[in-house]
Amino acid sequence: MKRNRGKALAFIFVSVLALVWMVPIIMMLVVSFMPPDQRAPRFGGLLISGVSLQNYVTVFEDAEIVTHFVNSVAVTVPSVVLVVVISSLAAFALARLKFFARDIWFYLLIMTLMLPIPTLVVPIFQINKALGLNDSYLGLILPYTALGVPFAIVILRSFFAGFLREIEEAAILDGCTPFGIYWRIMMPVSWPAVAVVIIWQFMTSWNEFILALVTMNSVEVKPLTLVPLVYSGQFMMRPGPMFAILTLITLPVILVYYLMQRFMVSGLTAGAVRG
Amino acid sequence: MYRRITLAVLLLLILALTAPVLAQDEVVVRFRSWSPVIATTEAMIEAFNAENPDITIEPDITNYPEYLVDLQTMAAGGSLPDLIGLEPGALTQQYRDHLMPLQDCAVATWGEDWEDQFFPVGIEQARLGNPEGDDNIYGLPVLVQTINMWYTVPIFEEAGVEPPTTYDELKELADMFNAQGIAPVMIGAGDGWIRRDVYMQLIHNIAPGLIYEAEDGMASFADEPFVEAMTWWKRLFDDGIFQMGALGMTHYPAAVEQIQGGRAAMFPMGAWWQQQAANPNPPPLDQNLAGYAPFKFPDVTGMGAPEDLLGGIDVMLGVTRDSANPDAACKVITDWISGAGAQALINTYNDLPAYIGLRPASFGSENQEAVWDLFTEEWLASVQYARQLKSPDVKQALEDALAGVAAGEMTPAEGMQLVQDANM
Amino acid sequence: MTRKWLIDNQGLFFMAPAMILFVVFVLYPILYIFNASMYDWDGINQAIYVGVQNYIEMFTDDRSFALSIRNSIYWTFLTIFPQMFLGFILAYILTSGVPLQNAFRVIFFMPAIISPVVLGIIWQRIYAPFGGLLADLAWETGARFLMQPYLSDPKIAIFSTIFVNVWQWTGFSMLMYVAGLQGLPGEVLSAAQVDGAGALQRIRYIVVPMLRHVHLTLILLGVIGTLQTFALVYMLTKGGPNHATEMLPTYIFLKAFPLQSMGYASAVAVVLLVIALGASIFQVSVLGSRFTIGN
Repeated sequence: MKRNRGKALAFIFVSVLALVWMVPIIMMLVVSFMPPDQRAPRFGGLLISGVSLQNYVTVFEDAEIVTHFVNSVAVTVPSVVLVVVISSLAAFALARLKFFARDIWFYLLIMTLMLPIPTLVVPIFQINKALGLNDSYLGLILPYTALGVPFAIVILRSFFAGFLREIEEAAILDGCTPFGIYWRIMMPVSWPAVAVVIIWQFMTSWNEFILALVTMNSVEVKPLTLVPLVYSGQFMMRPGPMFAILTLITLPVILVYYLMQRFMVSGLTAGAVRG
Repeated sequence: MYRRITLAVLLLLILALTAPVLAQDEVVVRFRSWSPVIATTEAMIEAFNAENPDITIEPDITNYPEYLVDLQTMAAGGSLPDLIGLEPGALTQQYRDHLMPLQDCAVATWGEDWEDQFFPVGIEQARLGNPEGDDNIYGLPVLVQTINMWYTVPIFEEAGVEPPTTYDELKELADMFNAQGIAPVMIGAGDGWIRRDVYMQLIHNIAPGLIYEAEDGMASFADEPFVEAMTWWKRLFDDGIFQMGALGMTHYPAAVEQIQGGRAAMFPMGAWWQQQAANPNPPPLDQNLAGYAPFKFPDVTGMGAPEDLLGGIDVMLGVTRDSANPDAACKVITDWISGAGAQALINTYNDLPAYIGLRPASFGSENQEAVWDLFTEEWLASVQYARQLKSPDVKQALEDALAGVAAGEMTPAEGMQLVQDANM
Repeated sequence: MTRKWLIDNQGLFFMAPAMILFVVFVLYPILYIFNASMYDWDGINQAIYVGVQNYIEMFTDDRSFALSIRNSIYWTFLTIFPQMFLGFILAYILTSGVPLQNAFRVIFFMPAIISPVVLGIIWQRIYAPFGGLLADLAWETGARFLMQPYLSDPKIAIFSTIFVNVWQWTGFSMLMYVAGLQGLPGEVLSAAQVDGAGALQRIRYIVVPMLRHVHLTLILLGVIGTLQTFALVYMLTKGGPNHATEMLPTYIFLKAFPLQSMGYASAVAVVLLVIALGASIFQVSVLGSRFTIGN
């Protein structure tokens, strides 16, 4: 009885909090459906005088949303894949192999774990300039990968380190090379940790802003994060289309998260934050 | 599973590597600016191409702050486009070394007396900040403007009041509108440029023209008139002339949305506000500019408002030294200033034309036409004071000081001292 | 280099891609900013060597820099701990079998995946002192205390900004704790989730200590997040009013790009780098190399 009452209270608490939590997102949706000639709706936009799809029509007609979406994908997906490949190789070596200056490399890498991207924005801009990578996808893919690798290595390394020696030794007796052990034995069972790396890197690359701002100069290569800025001049005085854009750039991430969320929790549980 | 992933990686990498567009042979003019907005720019390009089909214009229009970032990174990367939008003064001077003098282009197009075909303020300000002895024109003015106040007609009519001309009238109106939940003077003082615009009107009210002397070191920004103007600025906040929380709002888009929604009685803006009439799906107040009328900044100090307005060039265009097709770029610029492209631009009421004699093809209402005529025939001729400052450091310091004083973090005297310190 | 050496050190081949990227995009840029910080340089024209002048100016005569350091300290403490606290409570409730618990988890986590650019624009509408959600609520309901100059008062603005960050990231803390709680032995959790006099004690003395790794991970990620903060502030306040919400990254950006002082910006970046490295070294020395993850 007492237990049920506690549960009911808890349920009410999270329900109310969830409702409040959702207000900004609801507001984004509501304003995006506002009639295009309405301004300054009451309660910042929670209360509108009618519903219209016109804003979405305007956005698809006047803005290259699809192009920007493709740009974001073209930057994010390669950086995620590269981070998984590069960091898993390195993490495997750091966890299971002995080689020259191994510990030094490891400490160097984890020292840069906290390297904020804004610190390096000036030099990376200059490096990209020297390599001719400004205004190209690679100009973002490579730095995102480089800065994402240390965190991924830390996660994957401790996952790999947890494997039993015996399995590895048996594989070596069967003539398996270290690469074979990495590829056929370790990777196939490491998906929980890999899932965490994927989600983390996806979120960082998809939402990264400052480097994209200075690297991508032409409108046609700008990723979605920059879209509100690109069009804020054009739609500046029209909150409806602006918020339709915000909604459109948010939906893909929510979809990806929704599809991945069960991996996220199980991945974190299975590997990442095991006590 | 992993093999397929490897394949996908390879494919994506190849895609990314080959993404840069292949070079083209035709005459291409790349254009970057924050103004005019893309829809207008496209109309101008269409009008230009009707007569010049052999020149392709590639426009990229972004928001002003991000435009500055792009411009700087492109300049550093040696990849400036052919044609760039400029403001007179600080911005143009920053890029002077990258810009081509344009007077030859102007003479070739309009003849030796070309300067007379522009409103004087446009020509004067095109050279703003040039070093001694450098008479080059680094950018040709496309649009000019005045800085002034506007009021919302239905709100004034309902209240049965007239635009204020003195501070006491302004204060009286403010008290009345505040009680009704209407912003007396709506300002998005979070934007530095509008803070500066209002301050410039205050200082010209107190000591007309003195600020330019201070810029040249002939007077100090810490002098009494500047401090007094700063004190008035602070009073506008303290007396509730500006709406509450003004310092945390952007002028565009936050304040503008409230203005359009009919929640502001008055607001500082400029001649470009006429463009509201050309936006798609205009709210009722915007339709044919029915809801707004301009008036001059009140004589807050009671010292007699100078009749000479603040204003100048809205946007001018420059050709970069990296341009592969300077002749084509000249053609585009001059068309956009006085040709078919200019007409397309003016038809959107984007701002006032720098070139004398252009007029929109049609007006939606008498009020709109009357406003246009007031600006072009009366006010523009009396624009005396540049809205822009020469030095980016002074500009930044002044905008910071205005915010700091408004927020109560420093006294007017301390604020102006910071501006003077930056003027070295 | 003999063949045998190569075979003994084949780990180097596995490491090679990571090492190359590290050298080009991390190590070289670090050396670069150290060098650039010694110059007066606008990024375009010739740089002038000024030695440690930039540093002297920064530490003796730069109010904006001091503010961004102060704000980083506020940000660290006022985001990490509230997020952890609220996140833990939510996780605890949402693993106890309340109805719709998966839906609730999605709702609370959602802000974490939305671009801060989007959130900045939305929250401006919430905070707007005139016509904003809170201002209108205050006006209509008479709850005047809701009408505050959230983003315009330099004393309040930083806290308003931090609040948005807490809203955004609490769901992330929650999810980490959900994972942590699910990883606990079943009997520990079910024992703790029986209500009654001892429940709080059981949480306090048994569950919380067992989640040590989650706490540490969240602190680590929180510090990284603080030092990275850019987009939210840039969209919400641009660092204003009068630099009251400036963070180190926004200040670096302001100096490097709008104000064209790449040399000075590099000097600020060096300070940020030293702080970041210091935090990393602290983490490593306190927690060893196992700091984020279990086993």
